[in-house]
Amino acid sequence: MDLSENFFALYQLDPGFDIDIAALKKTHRQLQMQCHPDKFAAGSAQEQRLAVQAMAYVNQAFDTLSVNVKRAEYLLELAGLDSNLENQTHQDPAFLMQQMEWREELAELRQLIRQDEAAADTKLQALMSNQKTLEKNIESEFVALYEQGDYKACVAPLAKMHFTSKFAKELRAVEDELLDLD
Amino acid sequence: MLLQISEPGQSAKPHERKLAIGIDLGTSNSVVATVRSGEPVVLADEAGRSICPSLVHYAADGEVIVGREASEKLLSDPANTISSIKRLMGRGVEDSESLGHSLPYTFAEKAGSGVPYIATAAGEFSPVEISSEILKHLAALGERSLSSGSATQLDGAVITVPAYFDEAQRQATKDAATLAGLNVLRLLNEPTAAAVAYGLDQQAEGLIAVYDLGGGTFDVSILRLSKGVFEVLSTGGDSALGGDDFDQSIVEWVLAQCSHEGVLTPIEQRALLLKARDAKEQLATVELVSVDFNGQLVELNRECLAEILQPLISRSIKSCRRALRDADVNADEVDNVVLVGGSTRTLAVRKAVTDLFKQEPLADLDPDRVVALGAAIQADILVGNKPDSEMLLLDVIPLSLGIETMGGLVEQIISRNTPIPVAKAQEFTTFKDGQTAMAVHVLQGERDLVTACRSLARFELRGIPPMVAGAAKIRVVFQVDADGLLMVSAEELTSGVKTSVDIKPSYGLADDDISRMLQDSFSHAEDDMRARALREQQVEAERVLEALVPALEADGDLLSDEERQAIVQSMESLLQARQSADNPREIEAAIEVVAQRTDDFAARRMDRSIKAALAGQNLDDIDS
Repeated sequence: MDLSENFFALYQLDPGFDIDIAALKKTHRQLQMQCHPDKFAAGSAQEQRLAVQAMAYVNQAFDTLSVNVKRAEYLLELAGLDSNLENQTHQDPAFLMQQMEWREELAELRQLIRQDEAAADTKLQALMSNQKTLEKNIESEFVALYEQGDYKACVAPLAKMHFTSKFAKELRAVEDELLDLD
Repeated sequence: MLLQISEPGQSAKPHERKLAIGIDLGTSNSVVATVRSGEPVVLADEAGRSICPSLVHYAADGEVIVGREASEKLLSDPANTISSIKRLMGRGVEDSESLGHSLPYTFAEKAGSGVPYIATAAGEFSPVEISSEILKHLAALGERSLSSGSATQLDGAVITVPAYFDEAQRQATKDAATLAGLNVLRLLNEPTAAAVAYGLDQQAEGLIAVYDLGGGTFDVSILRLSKGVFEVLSTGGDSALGGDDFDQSIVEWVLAQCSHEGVLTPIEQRALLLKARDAKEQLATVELVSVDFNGQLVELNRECLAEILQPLISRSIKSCRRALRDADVNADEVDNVVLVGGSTRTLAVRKAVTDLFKQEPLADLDPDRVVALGAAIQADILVGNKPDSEMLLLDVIPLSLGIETMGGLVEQIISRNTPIPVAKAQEFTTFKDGQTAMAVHVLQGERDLVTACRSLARFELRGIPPMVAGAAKIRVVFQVDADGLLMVSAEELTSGVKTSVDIKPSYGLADDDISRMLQDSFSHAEDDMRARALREQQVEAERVLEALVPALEADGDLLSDEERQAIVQSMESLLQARQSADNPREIEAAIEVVAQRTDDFAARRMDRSIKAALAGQNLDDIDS
């Protein structure tokens, strides 16, 4: 299937970090209505196979565009940057310090769960709020550099975004534990 | 021109109603339904019974009895009367030993297959074969009640599976359907089916939680309903939790009350299980029952039952909380809670669900029939009887899919609750000079350790062009279709060589096994199989041609003259083969040629229809 145009074009959006999420969702529903294999269940094996591929492609596009860090990474990919560049980039020392500090806080938090659930919850909420603030700042940093067209420089904030999103996942796992859900 | 496809009186006319059924293949009971005059209805047998116990009896003379009649053999011949076979679908020998603690069967493993075969008087059978007997029975019931005098052939079936079934369990179910000769339109998740039945019956909108506790499986799904679209936000459950476990807990409690020591005979065991189930069911209407065990009477009341079942019920409630969190919604945001499955008649279950969601759950539709009704509604649409239907079911993968990496760890490729169909690509490289093959071990589950996840299959990639270590770039695509089934394809990127993928399912039947079983099942009439294969290819040929003719009319401008000529030529050959070939392979080959020549055309058409739909949406925006 020739859905080789880029994800933004597929969803009729201008490429950029800030996008209209409502429009994205609305177009996604239209695409689902068009491509879902159920719409081809009475068709030939070929049509069904194509529909599965098309729907998988559309779902991937939606996932990429709707998750901030994936969208940022995709923008750099469209700009022609090698996806491995991130691994070769040296991170700024201040951010490395920040990472180590958070790692320690997370370890402490895990200890605290067993001793004092209420205190653990307070600490978790504080860390979550810090995480969100930092994430917003990094995203602004990315947008500013991206809009200047300095794609190479965008790699550094992207690496930071990867870290903060991974950290958010770990905080969520701790929350699972507090909710007795793990 | 070749537009005349149907011969008079031979094949289906375009507007003729197709016959489709929905099957709820349950652990304890199975139900078949269809849509008649626009209404979903459950089909009953000649004696008016619409609920078929999922029981299969094998007699020494090879006779197979399914359903109500087999229940008479439960006590007289327990070792040859198979119940709850669904619990063993897609499971391994070691699972069957742990799951089968209450099952009076002898298991036999066929060399290296990993599949637990059950030894019966008529031979050894895999869970897939045993399930296919139930499906055959239900399909025959469907055919009989749908036929209006003349012989009837079903066009397709939707078969439901627990939402929490992993890929191996789904594949096993599909294999059973193939073996039963059914054209599977879709494997549909049970809670989604129930939501469809409720959604259409009550015109519900908004957030729905479906709590589905059957005989052997528990599912919970959180869905958002909007204008005919049923979008599953998350699903959770336990594919080994159900009424059977309730019964077993009651049995253990009764034995403890009687201070019974030692092992029960299969007949004693079965008898006590049946009494336990009876007591459980009675307590939904009365306050107190007594259970008789070898002359000792044990009294059981509702409070006591609630206490016995509490650990099991709280496991299900935890799954509900997990599903709510995965859907990012709170329990009080849920607009409607739907109860499905016979085990939701247990009062303690209803109370726990009411407490969690802080509202009375809906149970207006019979919890034993609602899944089959939903399946029938979808089958009717998928088979093509309602071309204008706006209904769409968007489901998710219930368990994360990953691959084994160094040190016995699992790397997630597709995370749970991702909408399907989905495809993810992963790049691999070789670690030895000249390496031409490699194995990829695919697992399903949420844990980091290989040993804590379920092994699905090992895929062997062969035909990698020899290169120095690390030079090959093998792109492996993991695709999960709308049935939740996995397909793996691989390509070496630097050379563009497609590598072949051999699948070794961990607990499933290989394709060879399935064809052998198909052959066995037709051993009495060898021509049957060929006749069926021929019929299948003829139907597919018709489907291909029926789809292409209007496609060429509508979008013929997308083709160059040469392309169009090549397509029409291949269609004529196919028509020729459809009319005269008596070898199914000949038709298959002709279909293949058409498929090859129309691949680009089909892709261009889909592209055009998407663009048209999006353009339409933009016009709407201007209007509003």
